[in-house]
Amino acid sequence: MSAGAQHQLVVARLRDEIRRLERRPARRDGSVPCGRAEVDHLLPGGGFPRGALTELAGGPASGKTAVALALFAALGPETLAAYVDGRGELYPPAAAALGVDLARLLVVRPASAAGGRHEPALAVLWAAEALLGSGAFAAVAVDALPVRGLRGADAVARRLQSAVEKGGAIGVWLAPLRSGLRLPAAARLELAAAPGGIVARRVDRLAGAGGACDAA
Amino acid sequence: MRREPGPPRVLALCVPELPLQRARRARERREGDRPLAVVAEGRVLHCDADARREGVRAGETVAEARAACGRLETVPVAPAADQAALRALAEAVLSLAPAIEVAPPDALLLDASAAHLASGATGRRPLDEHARGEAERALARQVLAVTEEMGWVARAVVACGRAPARALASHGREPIAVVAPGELTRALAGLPLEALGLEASVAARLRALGVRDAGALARLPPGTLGHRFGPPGVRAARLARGEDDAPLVPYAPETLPEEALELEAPAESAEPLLFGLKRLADRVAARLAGRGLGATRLRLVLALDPRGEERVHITLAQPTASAARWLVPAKEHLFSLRLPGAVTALRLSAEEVAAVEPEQLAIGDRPEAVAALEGVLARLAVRLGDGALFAAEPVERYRPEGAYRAVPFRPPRARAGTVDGVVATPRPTRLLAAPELVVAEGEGGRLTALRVGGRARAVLAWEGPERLRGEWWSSPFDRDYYRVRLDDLGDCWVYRDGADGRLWLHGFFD
Repeated sequence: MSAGAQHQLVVARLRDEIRRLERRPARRDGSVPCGRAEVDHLLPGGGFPRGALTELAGGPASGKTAVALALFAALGPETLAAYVDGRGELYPPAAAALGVDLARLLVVRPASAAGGRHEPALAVLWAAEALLGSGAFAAVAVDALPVRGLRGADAVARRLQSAVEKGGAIGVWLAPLRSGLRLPAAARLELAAAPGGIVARRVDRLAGAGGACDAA
Repeated sequence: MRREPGPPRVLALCVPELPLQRARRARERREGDRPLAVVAEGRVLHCDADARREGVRAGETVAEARAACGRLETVPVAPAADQAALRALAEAVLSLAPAIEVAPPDALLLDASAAHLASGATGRRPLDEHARGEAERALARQVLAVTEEMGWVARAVVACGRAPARALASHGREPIAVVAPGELTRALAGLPLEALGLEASVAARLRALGVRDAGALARLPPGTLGHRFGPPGVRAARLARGEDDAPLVPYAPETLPEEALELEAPAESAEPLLFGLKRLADRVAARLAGRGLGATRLRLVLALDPRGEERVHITLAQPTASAARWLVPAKEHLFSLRLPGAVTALRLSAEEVAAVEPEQLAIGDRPEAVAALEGVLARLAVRLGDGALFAAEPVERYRPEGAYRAVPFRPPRARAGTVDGVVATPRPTRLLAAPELVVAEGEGGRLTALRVGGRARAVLAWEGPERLRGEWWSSPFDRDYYRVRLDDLGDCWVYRDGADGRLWLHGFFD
């Protein structure tokens, strides 16, 4: 019987105490490059900013998912990432091939398991808000469904921004070219497949969005 | 450490009036509680202080007790439940001693020979008498702290031999006592004859002979008791002299812990439930911690008024014996419940457990992040269902859609440095759940376009094939996969089905 095990109760109590006393905020400054130069050089600070949303828009084979997975792989070894899989199409073996630690990647498929209880697009937005605001994940990518015609879309977008600022995560919004949701993102890139890689284009930056994107 | 001759050092933990304590512990205290007595065969076995104040005494009949106190509430003694409670307590202190014996009806016997380890000593050097006494006292304090956390009031005595230690604990007054080996006979001398396990008739005969306590019995010449009092008399005399070399019979728990609580009043909101749940969680967590285990899945059963029950399964991201961490997802579940009736009782059990390493805080560690993780996972699970969130685990299968499986998200504490499941062959980042039929268009035997979703797209380049086939024993497949770059779309994963030659779009290199 190890001495450490004998003190486990005490340690557990101390951890709870420390948790209460040390409400250290999640790291929410700086940015993380994904390692794809054609994308990183377009982003403020040379990478995906923490505590802000970055929108990657493109067609179904534009390379945007690979960019998000490359970002996950570039995070520190102890960090967690989450992927809200709106379409239920993420193929985890590809993520592993890109260097993502699957044990640290939470996949959320709201539409598939909701049992029809929730509107899939709404369930995706709700899950995204919960994950972005939790402070538990270093990065959250959201494969969003089109929300054209969704009532209250602007309010949803504001809530997402508030959540990502609160949680300090890197928010990556993967959207079709015409998603119908106008996000207050720190940057919006349009991606398209090209021979030997992808081409990226910075298309928009909304005033007052994000903010913490100066320090690399 | 040097092994010492003679009886082993034993810590006896005695829970006085255990049936009464158990009855009180299983329900919340409330204003206007009636005096309580535990009865067996029509007589009062134990009664609480309120009952004693009203004149109820142990040993009198239930009718006499009721005559003294009309408000008296009686509960029948339940030896099986008492033993289960003792075993639960043994689990909670399991990590504090190398061996623990459950000694019904009201005691646990702990091997105290390694007491110095519990206080952090290495055990490489023999301890002197004083240091050993201090270590044993520290062990007793630890044991009593856990016991109190489990909701019991108990006494702990450390002495040589299991029977002497137990006798001293059962009849002692102080919550903690450490009896040095040379003082055992003197400590035992003041005990009544009943403390030596003698039958009342034998004790009465000894008293008639002028032997009134254990000290007097110990002074009788050895060998004179056998022919008059038989084996019980000899055993009692040996015990009175502190002679007991019998080893402990270690207890090894076989079932996972479960604790229950009756609520003070039927609860119709989450707050009183949380209050009771916290108490249960503390108890179950202490029992798991004693075994070096942490829960990964808990079951909470809410008994409803007037009948029926609601079951809640709580999945945890990491195995833990920290009750506070269990409460984070438990709250999410409780606040989301819509119950048809008020809750009258709670039952919490560990459904799945895993060994947990002693937790170490590292610089840069953010313990609050763990709580945040448990909280958000619980919120997602409550709203979307357990199946909606998972981690993917690679599976060695050629069939692409079977190359991973969903497992509960339980991130390891630290990454080993390599990433499991890396595959050399590029795979599409998106895989369609239902492959889409595509039609090839060509000129002069050359593929020029694929019709996808009713629209023809020019083929700009293609690689392949990569042949994937197998599973002939269940549902065989035979596919030639191509990576095809289509105009205005990008790289797609298309396969030709070997069975009928048709082309299917299976994924995107998004």
